[in-house]
Amino acid sequence: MTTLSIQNLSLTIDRNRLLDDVSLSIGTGELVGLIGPNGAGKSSLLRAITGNLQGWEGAIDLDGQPLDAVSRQDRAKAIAYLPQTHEGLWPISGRRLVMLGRLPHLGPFSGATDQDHALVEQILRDVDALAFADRPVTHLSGGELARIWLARALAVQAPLLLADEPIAALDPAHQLATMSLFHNAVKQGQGVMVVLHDLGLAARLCDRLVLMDRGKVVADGTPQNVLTADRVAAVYKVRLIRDGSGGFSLLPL
Amino acid sequence: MTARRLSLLLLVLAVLGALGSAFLERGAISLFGEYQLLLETDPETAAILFWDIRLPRALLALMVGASLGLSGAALQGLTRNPLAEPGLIGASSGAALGAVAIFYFGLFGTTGLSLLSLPVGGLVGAGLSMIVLVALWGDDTRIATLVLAGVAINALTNAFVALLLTVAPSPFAIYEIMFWMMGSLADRSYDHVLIALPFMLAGWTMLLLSGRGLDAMTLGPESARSLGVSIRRTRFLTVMGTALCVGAAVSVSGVIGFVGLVVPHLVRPFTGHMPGASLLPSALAGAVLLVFADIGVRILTPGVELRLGVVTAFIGVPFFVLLLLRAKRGLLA
Repeated sequence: MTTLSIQNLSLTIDRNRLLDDVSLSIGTGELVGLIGPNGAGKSSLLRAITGNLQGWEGAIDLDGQPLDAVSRQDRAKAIAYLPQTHEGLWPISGRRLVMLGRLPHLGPFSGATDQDHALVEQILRDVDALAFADRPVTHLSGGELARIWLARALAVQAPLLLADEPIAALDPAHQLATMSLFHNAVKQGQGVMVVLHDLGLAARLCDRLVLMDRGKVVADGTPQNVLTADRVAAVYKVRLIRDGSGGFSLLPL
Repeated sequence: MTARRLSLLLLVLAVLGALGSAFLERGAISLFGEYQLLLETDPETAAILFWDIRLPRALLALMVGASLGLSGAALQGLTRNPLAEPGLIGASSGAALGAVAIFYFGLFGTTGLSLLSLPVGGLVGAGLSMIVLVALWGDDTRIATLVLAGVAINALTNAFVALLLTVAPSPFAIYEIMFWMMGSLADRSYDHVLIALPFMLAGWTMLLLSGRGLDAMTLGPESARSLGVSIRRTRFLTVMGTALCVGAAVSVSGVIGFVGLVVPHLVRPFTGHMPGASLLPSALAGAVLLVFADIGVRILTPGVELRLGVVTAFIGVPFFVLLLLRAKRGLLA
């Protein structure tokens, strides 16, 4: 059981309040959807947790220990991060890119083992990327690249996975396949926090939703409780209309 | 061909090149003629020629080439920029300025510790250039930013060298200063090998240790950090390692450009384009390229020996232009 707990996290950069007194915790065994309009602070939160934004106030604890006190390698083994943008200049193969996810597990002078290779092979199959795993990543389509990067994050096999809009570039079939991968990961004991913009998908497939707006957490709970018509109107400026079958549609206010 | 086989092949070529260089007769195609004649008539002179004149030159070619190839590969990995190179980013010209300043102010001696003043000057010059470069470049991955920062640094260091040339006390001093502007390995001795080697060994070690960090950097700094890699450590190893080995190389051979640019691009297709795996083969390929280029300058023009830095520039500039054109079209490798 691994728990990441965030208390009163605030971050101001250039007089912009990116995060405003954020408190929440994520543990293994749950699929948490992090939702909110553009600029709500979702990516900033993930970047603060992964050490990519400095200067925050408050506390981030991993299993009761301040994150700063956890060694770099242990932190990398505990928390995998899938960033929103997929950088990359060199035409390395998808398979090599995914293998980089095993870096936190390698000794200082040892290379990848047979187990590492088998694991990468399995994950490439899981994300349906075997067909193009040997092509240079610079020659892949946006959706193919997104699946390679997803495989890279899964390859860390960390108890916690933070994924920033992993399905934005995917077609519907691969969106659903990715969400079911997260679902399986959670069933096998991982904890996944995923930034989503598709509220319908978030409501149907996540165990819990965290709604952010202007740097604050405005709601945290079951999808049913978080996505009330009033709150969605206030935060997203859209009208939420529930249909009889548990789904809903969004209309202009 | 795998990276390991490539390294093995390059190692064999480096040894062959060094032997060829050590046996080579100046201004002739025949490799052994001079030695055969000397060995029959004057074996002692033949031995001196081989051990004290030709062998240190061959060793320096290997060491300088390895330093340039290795630091080019590491810099390209760190900056994620296919045009990064010790010469283009100003590390070499900074080192030349450092060495020239040491020479100009009479700090260079021929005995004891003062021998080390030359590589130390090169190291300080290269290090200062690199610090300015990192400050100007920041985390910008755009190719133009890095090249422009290099242009600025090169312009400044060249202006300082020109200033020293202008106020040089004698034509002899001008000639000596010119040595560092146009690289050459002619008339080098074991002193040069010995003063450069410790700095190069330290630099090589640091650069080779940066491999894993450079691999992670292919994903960008954010992902690299989330994989437990320290960006600061990777940058320190690469920048300091380059300053150490390029500073030492330039202080004994002058500025030899474009080796660090060309070599990593030739090596990368064999290493799957992974920066870490490209380091060792780039060092070996740099050594091979320079030792053969140094043979070239001696046999291409009988009578007058070409400057090694001039030859590498003639090879390197067309390659550089080709890379620029490909970068313009968005095809970076």
